Amino acid sequence: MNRTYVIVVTTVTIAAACGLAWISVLRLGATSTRDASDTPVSAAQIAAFSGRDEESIEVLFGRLTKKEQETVQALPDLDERAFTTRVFAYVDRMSGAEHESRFAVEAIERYLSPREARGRNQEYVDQLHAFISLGFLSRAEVQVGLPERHRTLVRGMCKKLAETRDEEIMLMTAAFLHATQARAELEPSLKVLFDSLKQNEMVEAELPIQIRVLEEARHARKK
Amino acid sequence: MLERSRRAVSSVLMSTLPARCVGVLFVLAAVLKVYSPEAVVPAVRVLLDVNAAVVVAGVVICEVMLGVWLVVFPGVVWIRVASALALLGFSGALLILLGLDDPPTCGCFGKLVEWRSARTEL
Repeated sequence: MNRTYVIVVTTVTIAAACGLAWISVLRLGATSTRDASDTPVSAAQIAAFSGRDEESIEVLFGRLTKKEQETVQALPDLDERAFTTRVFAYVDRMSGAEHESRFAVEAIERYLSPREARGRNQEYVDQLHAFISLGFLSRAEVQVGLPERHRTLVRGMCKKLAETRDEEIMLMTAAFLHATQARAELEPSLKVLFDSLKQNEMVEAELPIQIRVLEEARHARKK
Repeated sequence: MLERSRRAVSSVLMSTLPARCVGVLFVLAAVLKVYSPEAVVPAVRVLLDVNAAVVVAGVVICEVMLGVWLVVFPGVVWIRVASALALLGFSGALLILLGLDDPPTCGCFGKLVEWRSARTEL
């Protein structure tokens, strides 16, 4: 075989391979700037959940409703104001009809996307972890009351998660409901979850304290 | 004479066809990985505790070089051996992934098999 031909082909191949590898690294960097570690969600990461990091707090603040702006202004700490502004901006963006029936963690899911590795079930768990760490539902609940769109989402989530009959997901759902200080409005969703739990002997035998607390709270409300 | 030459060419082509096909497959896999490199990340995170970008770049380089060389020089023994070893390695990785309870997509061909998100599920 012609020696020159071999050298040319080899050189071109190596150059092409390195070029493609470089492109893949660049593309990977562009799509994974929100690379998630296994550490719990930090306040800084939570602050990025608005999904529009390029926008300033002032711009986001300007888009809030009057009531939300008043709530933010009432907060003494600047970081707390910034955080709450982002949370409200995120929540408001989720109010569109397009997102109404969906799992309202689009931003969280984007943020957690490297964890897709662990599969769908683990992703649910991760999202619930993020939800709990984020705690924006409980904050919103405390500050402006749980909006209808969140109740809809939580109902849908409970129903879906109960259908999976996955022990860890159920327990995490219970923990999530606990974290959101589930209100009477969530009663039907809780019933779906508990009915499902009771069909699973193994889960029932290992009911965590969160579920017991929730059940007690549920009974207390009925009395 | 002409008939003998045709047979010889045909014989050579047939004997090298499998190697060339594997070469095309390698190049295709590399191009798809470049198009959607994030598809490989989940599997890398499960299999190795190293920077995913390094692994993706390494795999792409390996696949492009072996692929092109297999197509252009299908008869060279060391290229065939190297390709076979690479295939063995990839197969081993796939077996490890298959052994998991809830395996991620391998990303061998980028996002040809789309991952379904929780949002889609719901």
